[in-house]
Amino acid sequence: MKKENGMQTDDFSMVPAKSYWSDVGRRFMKNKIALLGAMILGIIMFLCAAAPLFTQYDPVKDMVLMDMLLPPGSPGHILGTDDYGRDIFSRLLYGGRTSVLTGVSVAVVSAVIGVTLGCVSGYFGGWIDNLIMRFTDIMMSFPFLIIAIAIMAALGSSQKNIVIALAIVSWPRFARLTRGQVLSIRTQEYVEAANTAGFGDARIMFNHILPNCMGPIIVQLTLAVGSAILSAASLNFLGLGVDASLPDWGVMLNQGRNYLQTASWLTTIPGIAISLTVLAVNWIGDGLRDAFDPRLRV
Amino acid sequence: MWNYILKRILMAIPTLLIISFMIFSLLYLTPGDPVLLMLGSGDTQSVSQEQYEAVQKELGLDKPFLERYVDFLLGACRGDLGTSYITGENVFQTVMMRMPATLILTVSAVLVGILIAVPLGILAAVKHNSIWDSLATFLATIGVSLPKFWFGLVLIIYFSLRLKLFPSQGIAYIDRDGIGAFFSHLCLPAVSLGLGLAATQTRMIRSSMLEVLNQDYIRFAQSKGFKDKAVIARHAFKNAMIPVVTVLGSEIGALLGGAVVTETIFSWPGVGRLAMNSISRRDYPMIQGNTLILCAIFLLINLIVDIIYAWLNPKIRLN
Repeated sequence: MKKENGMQTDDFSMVPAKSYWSDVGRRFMKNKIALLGAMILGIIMFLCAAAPLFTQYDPVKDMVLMDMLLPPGSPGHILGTDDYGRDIFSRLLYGGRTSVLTGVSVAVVSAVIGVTLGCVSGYFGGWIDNLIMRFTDIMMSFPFLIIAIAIMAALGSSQKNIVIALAIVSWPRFARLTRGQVLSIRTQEYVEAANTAGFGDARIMFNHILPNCMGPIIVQLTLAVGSAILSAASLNFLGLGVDASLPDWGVMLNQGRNYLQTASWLTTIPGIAISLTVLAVNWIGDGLRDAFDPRLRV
Repeated sequence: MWNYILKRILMAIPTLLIISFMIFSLLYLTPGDPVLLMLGSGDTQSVSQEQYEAVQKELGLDKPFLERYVDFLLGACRGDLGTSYITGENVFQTVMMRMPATLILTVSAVLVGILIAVPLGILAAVKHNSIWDSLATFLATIGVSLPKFWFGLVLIIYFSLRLKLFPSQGIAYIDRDGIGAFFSHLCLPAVSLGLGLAATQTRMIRSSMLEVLNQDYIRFAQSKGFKDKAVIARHAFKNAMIPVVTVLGSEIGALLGGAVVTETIFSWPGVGRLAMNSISRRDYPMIQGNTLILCAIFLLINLIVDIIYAWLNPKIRLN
């Protein structure tokens, strides 16, 4: 075992000195599964972003009732049509925009709230820390989806409200994670040096400490995108989310529910799209985790 | 130990208070006039002023916000969560009548999750870096990434509509329909709800077992010539379970939330489906009571898991 360790150090000394971020990038590029995830996600995002290039149908307006419930592989409709005769492939591409955008927005909003609170909490300590962390503990002891459903019931259905509801229940993870990171960095010499130099608290927190705890936060952010896509799909499936006529993967699943017997593709296709996207995001997240902290790799 | 339990119970009280306040103010802010809902009328024109005020007084809606919250809280302590605007039923009793179905579903889902996760997680850790390990990790990541309600729908399509092996809707009771019907109705919902737990727990058990298997006392036990199976079962598994039990509490809570969706798909007559029905009927006392009781049960489960955890782990018990 010792010999192996010795070998490893030797190996590392041969590698030319590089920055932390290029090291992370190099380790990530070596991870085949993470790269596969990045490729899948890249393709999905390109297809959705450039949807008008791949389909001539409008996902909402192009209803042809004569062509309703065509199975996949029908001429002109590669994935078939839904109960209003709308092209499923086109709804899938445009719906991906809504679903991915919701997932990213939830992750970013909850990260901004959580990281700020966690940073303040860890940096100042004392009663501020106590107050913020007690509140975080309480928020974390809520049953996630039940509270999100209650918030949606109160706020009403819209995409903006989905982002608000899910951000309210998902920021505490970021707060707890950031606080832990800040606590371990706060006592480092360069922070003391910045303090002695007379820099303000905000500058030290956001310019000196925060950049050094970005690794775990980025990993958490990636994984949060995946779980937000899933939660948003649940809310949309329950009919609590975006307008039912809009294309969205969760809404499409809700529509398909009435045709499980006669047109099961209405259900299977958007489900596969959600699963594939979230799987790709999770693979990237796991790969980033290993890349940021190779010690965690077991 | 008793000190610890007491401390945990005392900590649960402010949490419950904040939850109740949040739920109460959320529904207070909701647009829509409860008095008109109660009268079954869409606008103020069709009801007389006296009628309106009488109902408003009866519901206690003429009082200021804080007073109403305190009334709600005192009522909740006595098990009185008000009456439904739509059906006039007692909220507490209605939710409690639905509770056994939800608990049966949740407990079965936990069993399904553990029965899949324990063998798979141990296999992955013991055969580390083998094809079994990759397969278990791959399956677990897929399980985490699938929308659970979609998995439920796929189960219905294949096992219920195509193969006609299980019923897709409703519940059966042992005393009324027999034990076979009970399990065949329970099977698909429990599997679909338990999948998420199985996936996260497989990952947890795998990484926790791997950590334990590298410890000196395991090597020592192996070097003393104990059989691998004995070492895994008696020495490694017990210690590996400590971090697994920690997250089990919040995982079971997530299941309660997932149950709302699962119950909707399988027409399971539990609390989750009641919540969805109340939301579509804008029956606010029912939504409020329902959410509060689910949160309280979630806290209770977490409390029990924490106490079991403290009992397993002397480090916490003695602090």
